[in-house]
Amino acid sequence: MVRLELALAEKRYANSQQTVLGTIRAQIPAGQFVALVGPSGTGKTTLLNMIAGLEASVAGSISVNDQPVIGRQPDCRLGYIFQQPRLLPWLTVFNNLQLTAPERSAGEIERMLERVGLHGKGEQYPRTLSGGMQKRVSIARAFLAQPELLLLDEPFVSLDLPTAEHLRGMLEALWLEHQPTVLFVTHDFDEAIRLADRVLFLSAAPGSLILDQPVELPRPRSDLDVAEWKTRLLGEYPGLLAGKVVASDSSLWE
Amino acid sequence: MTVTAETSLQRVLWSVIPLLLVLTAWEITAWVLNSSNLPGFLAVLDSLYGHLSHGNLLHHLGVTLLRVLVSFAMAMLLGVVIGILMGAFRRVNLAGDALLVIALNVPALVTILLCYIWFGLTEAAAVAAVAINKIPTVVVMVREGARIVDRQLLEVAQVYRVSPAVYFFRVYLPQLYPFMMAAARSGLSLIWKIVLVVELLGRSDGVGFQLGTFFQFFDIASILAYTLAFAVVILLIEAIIMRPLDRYIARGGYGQA
Repeated sequence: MVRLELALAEKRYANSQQTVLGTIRAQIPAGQFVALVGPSGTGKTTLLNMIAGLEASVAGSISVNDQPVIGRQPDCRLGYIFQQPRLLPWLTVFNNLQLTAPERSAGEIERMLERVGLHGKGEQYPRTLSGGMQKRVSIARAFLAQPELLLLDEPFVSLDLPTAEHLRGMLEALWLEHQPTVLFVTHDFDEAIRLADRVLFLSAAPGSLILDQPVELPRPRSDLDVAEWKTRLLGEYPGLLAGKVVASDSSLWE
Repeated sequence: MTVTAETSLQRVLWSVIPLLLVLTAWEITAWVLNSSNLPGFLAVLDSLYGHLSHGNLLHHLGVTLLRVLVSFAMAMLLGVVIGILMGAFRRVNLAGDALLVIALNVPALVTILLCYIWFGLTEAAAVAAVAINKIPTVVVMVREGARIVDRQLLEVAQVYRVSPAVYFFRVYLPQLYPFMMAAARSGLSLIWKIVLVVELLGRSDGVGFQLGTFFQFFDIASILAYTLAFAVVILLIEAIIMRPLDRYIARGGYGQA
């Protein structure tokens, strides 16, 4: 089980004066599903990269189970679904999955491919698959790792609706089954409400945490529940999705 | 099936016809000139047959080929290692760049003469001289590849904690294969030319040594026969080793536009 603590003051790229992330303070308990929502260019991907140990140079700290992870890998099983599928083009789909999950048997890999709708595609090379199929392989790769900490960077963005819906269901099932700690970057507010226990809203660049909102809806969540919850929140914070927190007069969360 | 067969036939014709035209032109020119300085293609074939059946052509060819392979392997190994280091580490590149430019431009003949003077007329000196001539070009090509390695793919390997061996051999190195292949292909053609010079200057066997001997006797037919034999060997290496390697590297469309 993985606890995550974010205590960021500022993040700049090396050799740059531009600040890409502002102040973000949040404690994410083990097993919580957290969505990260904010306008484009607010540093959400950078934040995920920092948690994964792929980015350094930051004021502040990020800890996984009280161990600092800036510039080093967190000491836990990590799954990361990047924005781009990032498959090795010289390996088949099966070999791509086997490379990152060598302890999984061929049968387990085949079953996972079947679950993401890629039955029989194991021997194909990534180039022969559509963008959506490549994305599904990258999702299968993350799920196969049986992660304790799962980072997702807009994982369903380029998929057709039925596939995206199927994979959202799979993600939720995986989370319910194994209870990994999940940090999920998305632009799709409905998706965030549907899946997350809690939504962290970031301001426009440089992204700072402007609202930390628990989603206290029972699961499974219907479209209607999601729509009502969203309307209430946006009613209270009309500029939220543009990265501004200006509370309206009425208090709808009493 | 028919389309594939026609395409293959057309491919063969396109590669064979120019060769036949050159050979015909050579034969006609030799017949018209009627000079011992330009024996015809058939006379060269006859000489080749003679060297194969009664001479030491296979022995000399084997010796040269061994020198080519050893110096090629040395040049590739060292060139790839240095190229990766220079491409991956800015400071190594800064430290080595000027030396590399000099090494690229030192004439092959100078290296060969110095190796023979410093290390004697030995096999090691011969092979080292050839390898030293080739290493800089391998370094340049591999360095370019190492500079544009896809960091995003390396990050995947980091995140999923693949072992260092898997990281290097299955994620990092395959990205350099197209560059290594280009270096190998240009390397082979350069190396066998340099090997002949090395043999001419300081060895008592090999194709280069034999060519030197034939030159002293103005035996043009034998010079061309040996050249022909070596050309056949190079074509075989291309067909048996290089092309299958090309196909392996390009699997999944990698390295293709």
